[in-house]
Order: sequence, then structure tokens, then C-alpha cells
Amino acid sequence: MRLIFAQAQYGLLSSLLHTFAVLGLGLSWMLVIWDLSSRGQESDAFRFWLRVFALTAYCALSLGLMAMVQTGLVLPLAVERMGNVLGPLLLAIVLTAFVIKSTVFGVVLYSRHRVRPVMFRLALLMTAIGFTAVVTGLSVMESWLRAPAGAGLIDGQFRVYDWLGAIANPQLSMQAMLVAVTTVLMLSSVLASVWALQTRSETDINLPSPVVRLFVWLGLLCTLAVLPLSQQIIELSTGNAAAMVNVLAGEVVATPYQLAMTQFARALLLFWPVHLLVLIVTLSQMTSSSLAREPGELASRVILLGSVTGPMTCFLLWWILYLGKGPDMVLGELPFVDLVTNVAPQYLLFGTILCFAMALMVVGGWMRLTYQALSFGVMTVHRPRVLA
Amino acid sequence: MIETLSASTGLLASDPVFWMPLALFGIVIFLLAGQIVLDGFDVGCGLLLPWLEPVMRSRVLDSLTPWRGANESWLLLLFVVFMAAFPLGWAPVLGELYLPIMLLVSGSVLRSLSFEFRARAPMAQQSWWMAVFSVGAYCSAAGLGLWLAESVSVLSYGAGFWLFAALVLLAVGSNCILLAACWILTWDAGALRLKAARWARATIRWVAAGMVAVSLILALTNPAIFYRWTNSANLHVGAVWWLLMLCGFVYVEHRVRAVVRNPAAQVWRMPLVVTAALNWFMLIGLVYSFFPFLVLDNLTVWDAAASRESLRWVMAGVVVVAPVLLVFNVLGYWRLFRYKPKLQSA
Repeated sequence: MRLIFAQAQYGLLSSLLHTFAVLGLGLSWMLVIWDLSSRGQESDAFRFWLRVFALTAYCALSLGLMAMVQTGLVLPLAVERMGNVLGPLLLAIVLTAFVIKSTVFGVVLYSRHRVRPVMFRLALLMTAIGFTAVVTGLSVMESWLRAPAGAGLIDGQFRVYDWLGAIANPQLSMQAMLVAVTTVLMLSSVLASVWALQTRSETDINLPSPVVRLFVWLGLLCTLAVLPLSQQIIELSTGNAAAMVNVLAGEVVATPYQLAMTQFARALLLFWPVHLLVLIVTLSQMTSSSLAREPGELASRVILLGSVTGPMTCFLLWWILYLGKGPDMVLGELPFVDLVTNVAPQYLLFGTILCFAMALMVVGGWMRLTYQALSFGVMTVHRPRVLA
Repeated sequence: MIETLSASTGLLASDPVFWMPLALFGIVIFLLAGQIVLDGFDVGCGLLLPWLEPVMRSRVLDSLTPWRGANESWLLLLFVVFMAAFPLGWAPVLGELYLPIMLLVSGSVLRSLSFEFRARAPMAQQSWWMAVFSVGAYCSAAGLGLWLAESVSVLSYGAGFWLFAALVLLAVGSNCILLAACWILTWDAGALRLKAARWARATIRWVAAGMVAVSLILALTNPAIFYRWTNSANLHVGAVWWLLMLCGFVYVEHRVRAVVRNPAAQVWRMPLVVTAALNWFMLIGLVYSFFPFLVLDNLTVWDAAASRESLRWVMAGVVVVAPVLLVFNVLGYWRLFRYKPKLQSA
């Protein structure tokens, strides 16, 4: 039971963190390109996406704290064994996040009209670069856990002898690919669903900004890349993707980890074509000249599915990579099961319930505030003020 | 003292393997002190929210806005620096504290998110997010209380432990409310001021009782700590320490009583400063009791430290980034003391 609770907590929080982090990354770069292409011209749409970015960044930061501490509590031996490598990396990630949050993020969020346009643009760019650094750091950590490099085991502890080797570990390229694909997937999914809600709630709307359309196009390309990527991931985990096809077809008896992976792969095969359809319909709507007169009811319903299919596709890719091996999962060259804490299972159950409640609150709150902002206008935010 | 310590570890005082863990331990304690006091009044506000009228709830939460960003950074930095600097201490120190730490962290995350969500939510949803903030505060206080109770007590889980834990929980909750009430006294001149003074009066004795109980249990269940505080070389320091704390409690009680009698009394920031000092006194006392051990008589700061190469990176990161964060936090908290309410005579 301990293993199940531990994996449920680890899988849930880490995948949620990954999802919000990549969405924040996508939004930050979309805003940079938007600001550059509109030459600093302000619009309601730009302000709206800026608020969505802020909300996403706060969610990512809070989930980061929760995921870090929860991982340390559920896998205390992992901290002991890999702390020499993960500690400095984690510190670098958190300090970068705090410096960005304390400096340029505040300018982007609250001081647009107090600084010159060029300063605002610079702050936005620095925020995007900072966010990229944070997500890269997370990717290095996650990939190093699967393929420890640049460090040797001394007295049961990893000690770094080559930081560059540890950072550029053999799994980093796969991780970077996953991050790139899920970033665009998540972003396109949110763009599509916001667009659908807007067409449903407003009778006379303009075509979206070219930047929005660009990212939906990129989303379509990335969705096409999902299948080859998932094949790569499965091959990496099992060494043989063809065997998985046999398992999927029910031709061979599966081992437990193949069974877990098969369920994720089946779900992916269900969500993937729907998401592809969602993005094709979105693009056809976004480029349709007759839209302003007659927004399609069925089309907008199909597009709305994107709010589920996009994140689910990302989750499933992530779960196949991390939890696909089920009980045989390995972190830092040790089986996951050997790293799990020995606290009473009822505490772990309580922790799992807490994690699920937290996940519901974060996702529910984010969706509600983002999507309802379309009905209430631009999301408001209280500026920090002095009491006087 | 440094020479004695370095001699006991068999390392030169100038050796980075000696001073880097020591410096990082100092930073961890600094972060813990910030967490207890500066995040403490934040938690206290959340604990008080259900007992306030709706208008006052918004006022209290809005007043937290300027330093909310700084308040929420203490806990994350505390755990990250501890994990990076003392990886071997993580499992022995926190491994058995799953429940308290999960409660503490969940509470912090709930407060952070609900605060941000509330700032963006329409009026109809404000009360929901305020309720979530309050739940987060109760989780944080419970987590902090259980953490303290489990850390200082070697009692096994039984009626005795839970009785002690209940007292510590009550004291920690009271401490957060006391901090919040003293903080409210620094900026409110209206009806909230009188309420804050009453809360402060109601909680201050529980805080004192909790501090005494924690000290007694710590000393009576650990002979080494009892000896450390009562041997002839340290006895007078301990006596002065307790006398100062007693004076602090009497002073705060006296000042808040003055506000209860006359809300226009010229009481502003001193109760908050003294209450914060009392918390720091208690924390320093606890650290002194345990130092140089992270796990009493078992694991020292140097045993738990990361390898030399990793410590170098951790130290470099902290040295480079600390000034930026310090400036940000100092600027944030400076506003805490810049405002003085206009008090009208009753």
C-alpha cells in the first residue's frame, strides 16, 4: 500500500507541477512575441493573457513547494542518496524563481504604466528567460533521476565529479523534447478553449491575434509529434515498442509494468485523435471570415473538449515516462520501492487525500478564474499598496 | 567558542568543511526565525478570519497584500536550503515528521493560492477564497504545533504525548493570534483595534504557558539538555534569559491592557516588536539546547552536511542571491512600520 500511495502522490504532484510549469513557459514566450509583434500596443486580450500567465506562475510556484517537500517526505532516502546533486540544482531553481518573482515579474504585472515601453519589454523578456531557466532546471533534475551521470556512488551517496556531465545527462534530450511538445500542447489547448468560450458568450467577436493563431498551428504540429514521441518514450523504458503493440492488441500476457504502461498508452490513443480534431476545428474557426456573423455551436463544443484533451495528453506522456514502469520504477539507480518512507500507511493515505484535494483546488481555481474572466471582462488584480 | 567547536570536530576553523555547514546552519535558523514570526502573523490573521465580520475580513486580508510575497518565501527557502546543505539530516530530522510537515506545507500552499485567487475573483467568490485561506492557516498552525511537539518530546505516542501536543497546538495557535493582534495594533485605529487588543490579552498567557511547557518537557526528558541549562557556568545566563522573557510578557500584557481600557492609547509597534523578540528568544533557546546536533546525541551539523563540492555551490548560490532577496524583503517589511494610525481620544 505504501508504494501505491507514494507513487500516487509523486505522480499527481509532479505531473501537475510539470503541466503548470510548461503552460507558464509557453505563455511567457507567447507574450514576448505578442509584445514584439504589436510594438507595445496594449489590448484587452494582451492584458487578459498577462493575468492568466501570472495566475499560472503562482500556481506553479505553490505546486513546486508542495511537490518538493512531498517528494522529500515520501522518499527521504532519495534525498540522502542524491542530495549532493539534487540539492544545489533545486536551490538554483528556487533562487532563480524568487529573484524573477521579486524583480522583473513585479514590473510585468503591476508597473506597466509606470515604466517606459522598452523597460516593460525587457522585464517581460527577462521573465520569460527566467521561467525557461527554471523549467530547464526542473528538466535536468527529472532526467538525472532516471539517468544519473557525472556523479559516482561513494558510501551510498552520489558525489558529483562533473557538473556539466550531470546537467547534460543522457536523458536530457528526451526530457527537453517532452517539455517542448507539452509546452505547445498545453498552450494551444488553453488558447483553443478560451476561444471556444468566447465564441459562445459573445455574438460579435474579432479574429484572434496572429500570435494566438501561430501557437495553435504549432500546437497542431506538436500533436502530430505526440505518437512518435510516445514510441520513443516506450522504447526507452521497455527497449521494445513493438512488444507494447502486441500487449495492446492482447496477443501476449503482459508483465505488471507493461500492464501499467499499456493502460496509459490506451488512454493516450483515445485522447490524441480527439485533440487533433479539436485543433483542426479551432484553426478552421479562427481563420473563418464568416465567424463574426455566425459562430458555430457544434464547432465551439468540439473545441471546448480541448480543455480536457490537451492536458490529458500531456499528463499521459508524462505518466508513461515516469510511472509507466509501475512497481519497477527506478530513481537514481535504486528501485522506487526501496526509497519509500516507512511511516504508517494511514499517514500516507492522509497525505494522498491532501494532495488530491490540493490538486482539485489548484486546477478548479485556475480554470474557474481563467474561463470566467471572459464573462466578467479582464481579470482584476489588487495592486500591492501601502496602508496609508 | 569557535575554537572549541573546531577542536571537537577535528577540523581547522578556517577549513571550509567546518565553516560552510556552520554558516548554512545559521542561514537555516535565520529562515526558521523569519518563518515563525513573519509568516506567523499571516497565519494568525487566517486563524482570526472566521471570527470577524465580513467587512473586517477583507480589510485584514487587503492589509496583508504588501508583504504577502515576502511572507510566503520563508518556508520554501527554509526547506530548500536545509535539503541542499544537509541532505543526510533530511531523513533523520524530517523523515518521521510526515504528518506535521505535510500539514504545514499544505497550509502554506492553500494560503498562497487562495490569496492570489481571491485577488482575481469576483465579489461573489471572495468569501469562499477567504474560507480557504482560513483553512490553510489552521493547517499551518496545526503542522507547526505538531512539529514542535514531536521535535522536543521523546515521549512515545500515548495519552501523555497527545496531552502535551494539545497544549503545544493551543500555544502555537495562540502565538500566531497574538502576533496578528499586535500587527493589527500597528495600523488600525477603529473597531478592529479594540478587538485585536482583546485577542492579544486572551492569548498571551497561553503563549507563556506553552513556552514553559516546551522548555520543561525538553529539559526533563533529555538529561544532557537539563545539565546544559543548569550547570553553574550557564545557570546565570539561563536565569537572565527567563527573566527577560518574563519582562517581555508582562510588558506586552500591560500595553494591550492599556488599549482595552482606552482604544486611543498610544500603543503602536512595540507589542509586535516585543512579541517577535519573545519568539526569537524561545527559538534561540531551543537551538542552543540542541546545538551542534540536528538529532540529539546522534547527528551533528557536520555529519549531516553535503559534500564539499556541493556545499561550495550551495554557498555560492546563497551568497549571490541573498542580497537581492534581502533587499526585496526589507523593502517589503519596511512598509510594515512606516504607517502610524491616527488615534482619536475616546
